[in-house]
Amino acid sequence: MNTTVLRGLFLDAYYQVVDNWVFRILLILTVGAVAISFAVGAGDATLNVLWWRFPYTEFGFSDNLLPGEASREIIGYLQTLVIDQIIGLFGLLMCLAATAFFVPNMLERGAADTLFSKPVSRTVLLVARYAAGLIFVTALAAVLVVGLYLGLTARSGLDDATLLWSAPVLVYRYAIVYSVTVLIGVLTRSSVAALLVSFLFIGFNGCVHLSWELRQTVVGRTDQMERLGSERSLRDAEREAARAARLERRNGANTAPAVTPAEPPAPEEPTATPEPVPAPETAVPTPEAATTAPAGRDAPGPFLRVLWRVLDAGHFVLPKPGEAPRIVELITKGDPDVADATARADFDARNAERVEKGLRPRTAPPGPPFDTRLRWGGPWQRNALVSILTSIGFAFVVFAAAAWRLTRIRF
Amino acid sequence: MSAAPTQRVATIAGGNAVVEVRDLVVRYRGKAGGVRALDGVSLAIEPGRVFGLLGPNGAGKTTLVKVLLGLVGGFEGEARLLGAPVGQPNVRRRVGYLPEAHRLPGYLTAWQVLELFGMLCGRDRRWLRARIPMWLERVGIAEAAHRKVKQYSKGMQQRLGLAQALVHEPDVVFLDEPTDGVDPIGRAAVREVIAELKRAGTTVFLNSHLLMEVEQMCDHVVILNRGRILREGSLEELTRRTGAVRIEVGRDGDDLVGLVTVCGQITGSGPRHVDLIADEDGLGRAIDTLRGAHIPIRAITPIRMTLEQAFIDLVTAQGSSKPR
Repeated sequence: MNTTVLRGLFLDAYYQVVDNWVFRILLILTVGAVAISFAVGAGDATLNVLWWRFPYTEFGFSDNLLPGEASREIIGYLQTLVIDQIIGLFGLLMCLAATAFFVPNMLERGAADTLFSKPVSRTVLLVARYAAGLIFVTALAAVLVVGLYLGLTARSGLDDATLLWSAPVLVYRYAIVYSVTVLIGVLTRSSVAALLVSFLFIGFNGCVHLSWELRQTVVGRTDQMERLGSERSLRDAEREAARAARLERRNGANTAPAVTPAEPPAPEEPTATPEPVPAPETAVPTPEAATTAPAGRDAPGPFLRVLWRVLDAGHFVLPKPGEAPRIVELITKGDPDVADATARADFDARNAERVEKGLRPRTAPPGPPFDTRLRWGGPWQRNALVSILTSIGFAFVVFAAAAWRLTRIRF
Repeated sequence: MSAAPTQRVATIAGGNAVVEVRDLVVRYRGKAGGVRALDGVSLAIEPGRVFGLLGPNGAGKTTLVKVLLGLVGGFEGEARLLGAPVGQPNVRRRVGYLPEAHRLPGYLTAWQVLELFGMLCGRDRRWLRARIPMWLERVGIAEAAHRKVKQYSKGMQQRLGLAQALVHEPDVVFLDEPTDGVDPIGRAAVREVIAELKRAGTTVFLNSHLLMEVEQMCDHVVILNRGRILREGSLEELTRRTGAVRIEVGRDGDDLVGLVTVCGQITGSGPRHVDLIADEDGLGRAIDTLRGAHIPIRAITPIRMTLEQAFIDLVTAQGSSKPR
């Protein structure tokens, strides 16, 4: 395949996207959102709408703020709530709805005959349609994220480049789900079926990961409680034994000794030291922890054991687009432990600054019962590389199945 | 490879056949063991011909074309196009195809359609830009070149379909119902394009139900029915003489039938003609009788079958022409 063919396919994808009316509507909405970021600015103490200034207190924000704190919070909300969650889900669904027909339309009788008689392999043509979907989302995500970044930088002075990561995250999420849309499009040649199954897949995938996460949270919290409980009871038992020994020695000194030769002398200090346990905030529940009960807990029945295994397998095999923001956090902030230390130091410095300025110091929010963040070298459940590879691998396998099926269709 | 009996190989080609098919069998899965869309078809076509493929609905015409274009795989037998096994990209680059009831991307303009399909066939943009206006002009849609295809009428889409099949200047062109939905002026333009292709030495594979068009355009014809070749040959071979002659006279009002009925078998008549099956003596007597009655004879011509007659006779003689 030469560059002329590639260029032709790219132009075709571009024209298909640009002609799409949903794309145009979304583009107008996106440009509107960007325009708002240029019109509305977050100052140190006021929200600036065009040339009007409104103090933050009018919006229920605390006046107990350092310069720049409100704007930093606004950026955080914008990234997590607006871009990652609202646009990451509803925008994704809209984009899927607008692009689900790309493949079925190509496979309609008459269209397929014309296209597949050309000297280009069906797989390449399918890749071109997939690329058209990616162009659709990439263009919108780029306009939105880069526009917002420029708007926030120009209007509010918030030069936070991590915001730019939202664009590849949106494309990454879409690329994974769109592979399923393509497969169903090839299998059924129906846009409606492709769209419905894609929505069902998003729901199913979300349910599997949510169930797994809940299970991990329950296991992690229970393990943590048990660990804390056993540590405490061990310490209590040792303390009790030491007290009993002291009491016995004191009694022995006051009365006649009645020590039997077979009885070992009571220890002065506790000889048994507790097993070193990982710090609760860094403990990661493992599949073994999920399927084997520690002492004192009822072992799960065979049904539950199978269910947990299936859930583990599902979590491993299915793509994890929801973990993308956490991967970005890992990329931008580095190792979580280092990031924690940096955040803590930053927090302490800010509090010191607060005290100097006569403001109330802030208390740190309580952390999670155990660490759920991804690491590059963590166990597979919390490994960023595994998350990326399994997600991309899933999309690749699904797309390869679609391409394989397409090559076997008689038109 | 094939267990199907070898049919007559259409001997249209010499040694350098553009299309070569031998014992081709295509089965479609279905009830009761499926359907044989093609059942041992063998033919060969030499370059520069306009080749007509005829047959009732479900005869296997489109399947044969799709096998040659690599759109239908899993067949038995041998199929070669331009000397190479079908489906190879370097061969398909030299082929143009206008499918029946085709659909072109509605989001593109006519210009963009020709540019896209030309580029997919390996022609670069500059080469295409020099030729696209000519093709748009030839199929009569130059004025609508920059309108979206979704705004086109059926006839305009058909014309554009023809242009997309030809824009990369292929050596072989497969046209499936090229004049479907096209107005009479457009049909004449399509016929002219096909005639030009023939003059340029391009092989044209024409699939049409309009037998008059096939008669006007094709050199050679193959009639397919129920997946098998019923008949092949030149138009003259297919539209053989019926044995009847038409005697045309210079005036009307005479009882032509009453005068010549004793000379042979009357097969038709009109105010100024009579159709007669007769041997040489009978024909001579008929001429003498008409002259004796002072009726001026304008012409005596042998009557040939039309392609339509030949087609219907062949298909009905074989049995049901209903699709299987």
